[in-house]
Amino acid sequence: MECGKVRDRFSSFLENELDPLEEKIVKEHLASCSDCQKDLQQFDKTIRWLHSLKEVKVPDGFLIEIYKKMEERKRKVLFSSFPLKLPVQAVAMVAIVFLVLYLTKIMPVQTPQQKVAEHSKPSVSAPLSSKKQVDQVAAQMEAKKDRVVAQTPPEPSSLSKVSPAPSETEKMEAALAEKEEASPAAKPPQEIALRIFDREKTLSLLHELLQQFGGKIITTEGNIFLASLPKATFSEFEKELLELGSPGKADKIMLKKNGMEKLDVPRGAEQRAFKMKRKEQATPQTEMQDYLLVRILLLQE
Amino acid sequence: MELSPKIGKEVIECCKAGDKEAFEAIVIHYQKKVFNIAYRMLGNLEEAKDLAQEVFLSVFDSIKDLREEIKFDVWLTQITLNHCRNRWKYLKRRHYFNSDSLDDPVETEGGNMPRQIYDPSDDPEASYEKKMVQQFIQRGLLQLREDQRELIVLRDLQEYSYEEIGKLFHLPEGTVKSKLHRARMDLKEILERFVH
Repeated sequence: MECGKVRDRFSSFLENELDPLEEKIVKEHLASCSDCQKDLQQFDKTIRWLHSLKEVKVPDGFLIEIYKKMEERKRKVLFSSFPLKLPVQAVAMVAIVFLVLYLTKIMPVQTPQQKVAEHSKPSVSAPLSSKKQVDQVAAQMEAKKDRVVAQTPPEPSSLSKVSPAPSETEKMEAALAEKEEASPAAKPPQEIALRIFDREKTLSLLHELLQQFGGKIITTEGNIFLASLPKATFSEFEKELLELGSPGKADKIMLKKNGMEKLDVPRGAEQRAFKMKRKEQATPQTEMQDYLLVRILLLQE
Repeated sequence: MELSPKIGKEVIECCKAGDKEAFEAIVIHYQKKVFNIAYRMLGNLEEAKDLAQEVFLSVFDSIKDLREEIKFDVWLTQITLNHCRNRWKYLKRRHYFNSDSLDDPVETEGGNMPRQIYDPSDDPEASYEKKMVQQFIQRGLLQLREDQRELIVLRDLQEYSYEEIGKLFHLPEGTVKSKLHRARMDLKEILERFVH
């Protein structure tokens, strides 16, 4: 038998687990091989050393320490189930609150009251936004009037002669009024439309009138003038201005853009109602500021 | 490694039901074995104590899941070896064994022993020889592969039968014997290298 095979049987040999024939062969090899004999001695010594190892004593208080560890674990479980969760929940709540506040600041929720309040504030942008509407209305009115003029020969304008035209104008005004009712915030402070024959003359008279009443033209855009005027003098200025409208004083058309008046109402009554409304409108503004903005629209005949 | 008459099925069943006295009986009966396996596997008394206590905590937590067909002591040994494997990995990651130079003292039950490299059987003083053997063999065991160390600890130190070891590792007895023989031969060579 080779040395390797003999060495593979050392454990079995020492534990007497080899069958008699194998044991005899191993013994014969060991008797003739000093290396294997030496190796077996060393192997046997190792096993004896292993078997000589005594068990170490369990440290005192081993069981008590187990119970201490058990209690420690329970505390840890409690700690992890409550005090750790609570801060997480608290932090989450705070984060949500801040997020909501942040979002409401970015996208403020506008209630209808807020919208009305915002739009009812007198501002410079409101007249400017409505200026476009006035331009459009003026252009449309001009175009329609031309058609009417083509049908009826031009004469010194009078209310009776213009009467076919107001029916068209009336529709437009009604539409405009409806539009403005829907968006009351777009109302300019004051608007006056004048039908004129001689633009230059009317302009110079307008300037004079404004100077007379302590006002001035702020901006000019075609036939639309934005003027500022002391509030106290507005009613007088308005009277005078309406008289500039035409020589017969009858063809003046006032566009009251809040759409409350109808043109089929008798003119005198209409004007009175208009003036009263003007006063009503002007009153809160007078309390707030000294000057009024007046938009004057000249309609060339 | 038969169950002591003191620890019968009744005790195991009581422990399953959460009876602390039954648990104490189990700890007292098995603590020496668990602690010694842990010490021989790790070579450190403090780590062994901590590990053995963790083993019994695991037993307390999971004994209710113990199936009838598995013998309690086989199950306990499996838990102990699993804990040892995990702890070994943990300590190795922290380079615990790297600092174990030949000049470091070896911790034994009789205190820290100087690490002297010579054959302990040459020493004339018997008590000192015993301590030296403890240190010598323990160092050799720690140099073995983990699976080899397990076999030697279970068979040569804890006197498990080949059959029990076979059940633990799910190996035939013949394979256990040949693996154990290889482990013993490797230990012999390690110890020879220490001496020479």
